[in-house]
Amino acid sequence: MFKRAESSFLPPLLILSFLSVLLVLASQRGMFSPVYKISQTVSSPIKEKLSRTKELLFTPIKSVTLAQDKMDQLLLLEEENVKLSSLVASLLAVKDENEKMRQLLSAPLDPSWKFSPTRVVAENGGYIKITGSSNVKVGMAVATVSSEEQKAGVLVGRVVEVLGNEVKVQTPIHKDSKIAAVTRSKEERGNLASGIVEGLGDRVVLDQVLATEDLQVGDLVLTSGEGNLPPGLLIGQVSEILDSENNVWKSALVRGAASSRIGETLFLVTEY
Amino acid sequence: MSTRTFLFVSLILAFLQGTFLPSSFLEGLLVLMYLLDRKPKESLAPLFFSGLIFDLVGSNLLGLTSAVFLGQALVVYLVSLRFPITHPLIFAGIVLFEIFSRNFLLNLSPNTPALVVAFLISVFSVKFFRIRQGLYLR
Repeated sequence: MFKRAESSFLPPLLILSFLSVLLVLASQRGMFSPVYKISQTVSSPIKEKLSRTKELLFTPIKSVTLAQDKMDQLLLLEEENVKLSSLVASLLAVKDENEKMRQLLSAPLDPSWKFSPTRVVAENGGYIKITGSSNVKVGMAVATVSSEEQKAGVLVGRVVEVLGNEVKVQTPIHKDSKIAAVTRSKEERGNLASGIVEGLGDRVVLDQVLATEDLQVGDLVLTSGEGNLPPGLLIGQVSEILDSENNVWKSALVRGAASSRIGETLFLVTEY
Repeated sequence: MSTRTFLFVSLILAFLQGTFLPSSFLEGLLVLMYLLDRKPKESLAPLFFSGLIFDLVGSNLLGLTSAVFLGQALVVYLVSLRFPITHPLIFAGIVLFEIFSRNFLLNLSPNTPALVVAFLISVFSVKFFRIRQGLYLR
């Protein structure tokens, strides 16, 4: 127990704290990339399995109460299901990747853009972690395809950190996220308004829109192309116009278009 | 808690947090329980290595969690000089301090339910700790 002051406590504490800071600086410069790669060969599959298990447990259907006599049968079926799922998982991943790539190519994006497929490993606190490759750089955009019929390219987030084979992506909902954006109505092609999409941790807001500009519920919010992000990627849709305190700016709540699930295929925009 | 147990539980938590549990959740409680069981100087190296485990498994900047754990050790040391560390509110306050620090350094969005649950678990666990301590003293 910590009952009395120990003069010998502070020197080792200072030394280890200094060492921690040195390690942080060194890993910021990528000096531990091989160490991360080695640890991630073991940890990433485990983390992915844990994340999948969590999803499985929290699926609403799991909460349905079943009669006891059916439970054993259900457990057997679930066991069988897990085995089958693991068998087809790799095939589905490839199929999903191909399908998404095809959709992305048919989306109304510049054909000169280049994409690199990646997969979601974990999701937490406004960040997602994806698998990386050697050509990933900080600032790159991560996109997916909207499930709606328009097959638009959707912005998932921006790469903020590359550690070994894992890439940390900041999503638009993160409190530090700021993205220059334009709005467009679903019917017309021209831009209606421009502003900044800001994450507030639990919601996304389109801010700093000039009061004179046209902003309607249902308008699409897209990247403007500023701030090293490719233009025309869908961020979301205006869901509510917020009351403004001044007459110069107006703002609106944005319903995000991207939803990333563990194991889902996303695309890094490597060139645009 | 032996050092081996502490490091093993750290490894398990490192895998669970960020996948099954929130990224910053029970590690502060684990560190505090470990600190209460041994002399301050003895606990520093295991805390440092436990932080490295969390950072390696969680793919965070190496050394960041170690710094938080060492900071927590310092806070525990300073608080224990003036206040009873096993008071439920002080105990839970230190756990929350660790969660806030780690959230801040890892730049994670705050997770209010996780904070509330961690606070409640801390309050209950210190009750159990005191009971166990009482049994030892007898």
